[in-house]
Amino acid sequence: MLWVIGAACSNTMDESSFVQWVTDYENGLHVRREAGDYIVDVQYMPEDFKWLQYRDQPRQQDDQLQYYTVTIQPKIDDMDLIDFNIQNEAERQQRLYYFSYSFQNDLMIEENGQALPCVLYHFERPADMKNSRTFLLAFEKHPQASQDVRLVINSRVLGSLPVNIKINKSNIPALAL
Amino acid sequence: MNKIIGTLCFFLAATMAVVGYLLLKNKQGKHGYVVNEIVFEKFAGKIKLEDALREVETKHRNALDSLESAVASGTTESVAVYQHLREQYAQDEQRLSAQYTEDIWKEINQQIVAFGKEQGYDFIYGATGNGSLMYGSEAFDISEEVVDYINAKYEGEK
Repeated sequence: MLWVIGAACSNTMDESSFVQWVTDYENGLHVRREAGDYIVDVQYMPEDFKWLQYRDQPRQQDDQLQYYTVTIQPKIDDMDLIDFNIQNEAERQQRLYYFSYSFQNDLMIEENGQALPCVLYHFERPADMKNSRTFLLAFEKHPQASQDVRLVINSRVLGSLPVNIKINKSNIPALAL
Repeated sequence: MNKIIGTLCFFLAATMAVVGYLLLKNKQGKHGYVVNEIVFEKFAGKIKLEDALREVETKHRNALDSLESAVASGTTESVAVYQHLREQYAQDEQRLSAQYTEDIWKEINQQIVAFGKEQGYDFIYGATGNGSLMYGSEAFDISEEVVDYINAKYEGEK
């Protein structure tokens, strides 16, 4: 009984509750918004969450990076991100090249008024039927970590306007080990 | 006896009147209108893209200015290059301006739909100044509310 009260007060959670909390759109770490013809879904990955996702790898201590996944899909259900609004094969190859490499330069985190560039970028290309594509991103950690950060996507593919998405990192529970 | 029947009739009529009013009010729904021009002008994204367009225009103007001395020397070739570039830049600026305007309206329309759903509106009209909405009481003008909402969304708020 005391243990339960203690756990509740220290805000620790078991694995499934923790994953549910982190992925819940209400808690500020998982945000979905429409941007022009696309839907952008951003998930901040706290260290415990990342460890749960990649448990086969040794847990890193004092990781100097902050990790996110960004998933983008066209609003039209049957169109793939790579093929959407594409006229010919040359344009398709350009789009593929853009998302494989150059898109990294159009991403940054704004924290405490400072822009942090994307230093780790991975374009996931699973063989599946989904029309969305996911990018695993890492940005440097700010020396004075803030509760509120903003992911800025300044991609011509998504439209002329930058896509700003605020992530609120307050009250993140700890994972009970 | 007659007095009791009279009182009952009065209460019945009053109840029907209230129910009727509520039903009518519910059927009419929640309405509001925005002045499109105000929303467009005050949208933070528009101000940002306006700056971006101005930057491109300045870059083009500087490039043309640097060519002007060559044009002044009067060779036919340099004049042709200058004219070609000037036309090219003007076309680029027009295309960019049209693209920016389209993207700004796409975002505004999208966010007004989200605003309407979140705030429980049944109708939000757009007053364009060309007669699509001839009159609306100021009490129904939600332009500023919509501007605040759209700008908060633009800045990345939930």
